[in-house]
Amino acid sequence: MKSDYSNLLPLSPATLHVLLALTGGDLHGYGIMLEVARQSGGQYKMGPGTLYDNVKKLLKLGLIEEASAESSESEPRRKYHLTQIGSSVLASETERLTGVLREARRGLRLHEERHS
Amino acid sequence: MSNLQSQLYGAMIRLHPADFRNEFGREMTLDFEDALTSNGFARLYLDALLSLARQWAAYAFPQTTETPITQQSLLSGHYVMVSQGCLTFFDLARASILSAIFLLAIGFALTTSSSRITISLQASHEAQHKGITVAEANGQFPLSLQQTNVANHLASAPSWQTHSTRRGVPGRNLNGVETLRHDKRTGDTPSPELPNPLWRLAALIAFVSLATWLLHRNPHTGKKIIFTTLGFLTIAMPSAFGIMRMVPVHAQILHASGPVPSFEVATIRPWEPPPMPIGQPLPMKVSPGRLRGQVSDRVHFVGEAAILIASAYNLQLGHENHIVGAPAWVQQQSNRYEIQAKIEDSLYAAMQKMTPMQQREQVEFMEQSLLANRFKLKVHFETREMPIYALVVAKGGPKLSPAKEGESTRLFDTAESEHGIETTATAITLDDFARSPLVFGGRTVVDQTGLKGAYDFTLKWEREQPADSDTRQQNGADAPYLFTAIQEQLGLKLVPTKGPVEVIVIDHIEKPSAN
Repeated sequence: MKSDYSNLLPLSPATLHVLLALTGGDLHGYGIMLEVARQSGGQYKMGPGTLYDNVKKLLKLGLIEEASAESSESEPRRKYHLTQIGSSVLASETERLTGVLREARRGLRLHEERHS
Repeated sequence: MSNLQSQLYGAMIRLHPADFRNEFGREMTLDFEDALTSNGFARLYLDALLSLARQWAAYAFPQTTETPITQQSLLSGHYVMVSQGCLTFFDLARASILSAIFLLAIGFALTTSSSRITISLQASHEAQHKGITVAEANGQFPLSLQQTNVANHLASAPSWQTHSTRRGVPGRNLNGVETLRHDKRTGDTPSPELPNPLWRLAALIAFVSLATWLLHRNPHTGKKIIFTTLGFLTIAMPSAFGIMRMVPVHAQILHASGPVPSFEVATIRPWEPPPMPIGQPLPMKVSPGRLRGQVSDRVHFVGEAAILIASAYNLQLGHENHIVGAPAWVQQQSNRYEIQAKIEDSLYAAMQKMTPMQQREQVEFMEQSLLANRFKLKVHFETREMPIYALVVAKGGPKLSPAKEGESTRLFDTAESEHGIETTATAITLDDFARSPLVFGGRTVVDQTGLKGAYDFTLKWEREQPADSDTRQQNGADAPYLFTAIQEQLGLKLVPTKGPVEVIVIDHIEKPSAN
């Protein structure tokens, strides 16, 4: 049965970007910041404060979890891993955004047709 | 990366609620260092400032975080926050004031309920102490006690003094400073008197109204300047106020927060001083954990009941007057007891993994347990207004030399004669000096000099003001009395005042039964 994550949607931009950044693999905090900047084409540069505010929330909700540290590092940074629930929530949000985009494109097309 | 930038960011992280700071503080610092070049300091600092506001808001109003990721929580990460141009000082000032408002609101809320919290804590402590259970084995047992560093702890003078050259051990370091530092962990910080809550509320409303008025209008240049000044004052003033009002921590009475451990076996017997050569110090408590950690699983202690109680509750030596409600025999030197006890092997093994401070606490808890069992001791704790001394800078300024680099912290008597005592301090802070029983004995002294750093000095002084001191000083034959010596030689002054002091109130105590 498909789980209902509607109570967690819509995601805030920061949350969405953090989850999206982790789809590519486990990342530590600065890795997430870099990935978010890359994904947004440099438009969204997330600071550590915003990042860890969101990480705290996502850990609490179980959407992400701490990945096991690499033993080779003497003072390892904590890496974060997208959980199955996190992945599902992101999929739900993507689906929601797809509907919004579809609706936006349709509305714009109609708007242009009316004014052409 | 600028060290100042790093320190400023670190300070901002330290202002976050403890749980958040502990969990993410290190990572935030590392990420800050990595992102500083690409994101810029101002942007990252503002980001931390907003995070500070969000975390305290979440801390103060946890119910607002029920649906944390679906809503834009207060000032949470927006595109606008990071895509906008360079932040100005005005932006920083605005954010500083917002944070200050949050912090003030939290502070007001906390101080309003502090008295009630104190009362319930006291009630809790009382209940715990009344419920102490002891499983102590009675009966005598052979104890081969280790030879100890000894001193006449039982004499009227504090033990620190009896360790000193006054007993003919020249130049001996008393380690008093070290011991006092252990005591720092526990705060007997007098809580400030709270003003009328209505005044506090009015002040808060005024402050919020002002900030709102400024925020809701498009500021012109003049207002921007005022606002920027206000913003930096909100940062600078608490720091300055904190420095000025910094109150040193006193040794605090040790409160048990749960079941206390007991000695495996212990004996208590009335103590008769053995015939000893003159000048030979009397045995005192082995100091397990007091200075350098537990060195033996045995404890040997001789003293009147008041000393035993003071030791068990971590009452600073010389402060036995903080034990109130006790019958006369508790203070009488003719009623001394000898305690010999052994720590259980498993507990002793576990204590080896503890810090010296924790080890000392364990022993003190065992002593509390023993007193509860054998003396039927029941106590509770109260905070009473008592005479204290404030150590302040005298007119003319301090006459102190900064400590030399690499010096170890020491406070000891280098000479004593009929003309006075010479006490030498190296690399000692005035906070430590104020709490030194070596000089101040049973006086409660609070450092209010506001002087930071460590100093070297030598103080020549007289313990008690003799009746003919004026004449003797005029003749140059006698060192000045302590108060005068401190003012003349150190440029400091002891001002009598009153302050809240935690005391041990004896509810019940009886002489111990035979083993």
